[in-house]
Amino acid sequence: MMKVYKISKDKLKAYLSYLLNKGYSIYGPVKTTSGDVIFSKIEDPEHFVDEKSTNGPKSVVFPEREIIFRYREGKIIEEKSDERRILFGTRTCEIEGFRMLDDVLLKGKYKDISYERKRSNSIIVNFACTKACKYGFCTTFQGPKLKNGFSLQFIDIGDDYLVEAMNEELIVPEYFTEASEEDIKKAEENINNVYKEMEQLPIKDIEKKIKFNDEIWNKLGNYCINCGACNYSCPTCFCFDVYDVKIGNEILRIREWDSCLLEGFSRLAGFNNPRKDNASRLIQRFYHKLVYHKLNYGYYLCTGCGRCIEQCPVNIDIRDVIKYFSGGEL
Amino acid sequence: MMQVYTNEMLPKTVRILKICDETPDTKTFILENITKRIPKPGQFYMISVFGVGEFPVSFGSANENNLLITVKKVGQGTGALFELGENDIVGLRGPYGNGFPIEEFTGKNIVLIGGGIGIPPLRSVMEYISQHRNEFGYVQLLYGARSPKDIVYKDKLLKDWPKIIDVKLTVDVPDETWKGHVGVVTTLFDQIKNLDSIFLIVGPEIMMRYSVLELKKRGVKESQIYLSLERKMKCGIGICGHCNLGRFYVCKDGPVFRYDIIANERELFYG
Ligand SMILES: Cc1cc2nc3c(=O)[nH]c(=O)nc-3n(C[C@H](O)[C@H](O)[C@H](O)COP(=O)(O)OP(=O)(O)OC[C@H]3O[C@@H](n4cnc5c(N)ncnc54)[C@H](O)[C@@H]3O)c2cc1C
Ligand code: SF4
Ligand code: SF4
Ligand code: FES
Repeated sequence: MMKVYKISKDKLKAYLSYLLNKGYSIYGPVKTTSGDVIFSKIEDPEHFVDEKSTNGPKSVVFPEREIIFRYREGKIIEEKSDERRILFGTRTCEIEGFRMLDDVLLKGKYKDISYERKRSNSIIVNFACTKACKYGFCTTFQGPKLKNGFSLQFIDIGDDYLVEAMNEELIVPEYFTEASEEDIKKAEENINNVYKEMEQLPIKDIEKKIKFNDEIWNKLGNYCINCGACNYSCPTCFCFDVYDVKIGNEILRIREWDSCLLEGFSRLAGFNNPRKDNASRLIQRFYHKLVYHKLNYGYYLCTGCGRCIEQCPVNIDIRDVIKYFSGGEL
Repeated sequence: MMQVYTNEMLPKTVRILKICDETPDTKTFILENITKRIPKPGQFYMISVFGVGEFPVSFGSANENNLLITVKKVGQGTGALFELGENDIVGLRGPYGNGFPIEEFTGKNIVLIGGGIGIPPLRSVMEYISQHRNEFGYVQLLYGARSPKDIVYKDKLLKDWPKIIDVKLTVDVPDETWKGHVGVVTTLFDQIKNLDSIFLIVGPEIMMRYSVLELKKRGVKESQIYLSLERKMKCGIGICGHCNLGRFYVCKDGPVFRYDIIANERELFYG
């Protein structure tokens, strides 16, 4: 059963210090000296900010680049290092992404063991958003608040956070007090504000409305510069490359994030390529998110986080694509 | 019972037992089958040349001790494999993919159609058919190579298989020695004996496209046709996202597809 507490905002940093002192590794949104908010290891509680980070927590459970194994003197040595950690200050669009990664990486015939290790060792402390972010459209999908899949979920209610607890693992009486009916109502109102502030997109049946044969793909293809930012920033993108590197007398097999917007993603030996142009690569990206994944898993491979919109240097916008195929203009 | 998962991305190290030349750019490698598993016809493995990379390869023949693969040198990984010798070590994981639903073909006539390096999966089917010959009806194999010197598995095609099935060969470009048929593989289609057969096609996408077209012209139903597809593969187990054809992943939902299921996929028969 879920329990509900609250914590005073004044006590948040002290609570973080307490967790750090307990020996937990903690990752969360940190403000850098240049003013950007990056999801990374929290060394000093003062650096923590309750803001959505640019990159999100995906790389903690699914690193940009990691060693699968080392090969030395004819032996394969599995790379297994991992730690128990807290992801503190995640957003719902990010953790919903984890749930989608779980479906692909853990629920098929074969499991991605490396992902599973990191995923199952990560305790989630989610911060549900109470304000619409600039590019987000999460209310088209799951909304700003998680229903499950966390240890604690914080919701801003003014001077305090309401704290939903799926378990008591991180509850410390010193910092948490009982929440009143009023606090719970306030949290609900704040969450509802996001629904009011955000535009909800006409996503229904998009998989039936979207078309291959449409000028939009060439139009967008003319702009795309194959930077891959849309994929790398996406909490639901999981595609990876595998390659070997030699360092001294050791060979490392590496896996690294890949991007379906890159020419080499689908290129076969001899420069055969089923996706020769930008248009066909953009079709792949949007069809995977809006059609293929829906057909295979019953939901769209997007949590409305808005990062691909924010980070695309040429303003290719998934919201525009959804609206366009639902009868809108481009 | 709880299923115990291992890290499927870790290959096993296996020894190359024997290497033979097939054609100027194609070699057959016999590897240790250390897992002792007998794969299903049409399945594939991921083979590693450590330090260079990993790529998918079909098996042509298998028993408890040996796995036979045949590789055409086309790039970095295949090139590096060609540098290795007998007793050298490669990495291997698999078998992966669905393979041909060969048991479902019991009692039926079968036509195998292959082009170039598309022959190893058909050899694995032939191995099954030769062990269960009387479970199948009339069996034909139509194989096309670029030139006579590009024919892979000459011994099988010219000597062993004609004893149990009807084998027809063709080359695009003949040389002085060639007395057989000349033309692309579809020019053999007038010699297909039974149009009610099951058709298994493996080869370059363009060859499969024209084969399907020609078969359909002759009234063959889409559901009688099976293709083994090739897409870029990095994991072989359905998690790296590279090999998709629409909603399907060729590595886990394929590589073998009944044609009617994928007939409308936009990226089928590219190029
Ligand atoms: C299911 C399946 C079975 C196959 N069976 C055989 C076989 O029996 N014999 C044979 O000679 N070839 C086979 N191939 C093709 C073989 O995998 C490619 O020729 C090989 O990957 C080329 O690798 P490379 O490193 O030499 O080329 P590079 O161009 O250097 O390729 C780099 C990487 O891209 C990927 N890649 C490139 N081309 C292909 C391709 N055509 N298919 C899949 N991945 C590719 C591989 O991961 C490869 O390591 C098969 C392909 C598939 C998908
Ligand atoms: S597709 Fe874009 S908006 Fe959707 S989850 Fe990925 S990055 Fe966020
Ligand atoms: S972020 Fe924009 S420009 Fe970059 S690959 Fe994606 S769509 Fe293309
Ligand atoms: S090869 Fe990785 S998903 Fe098919």
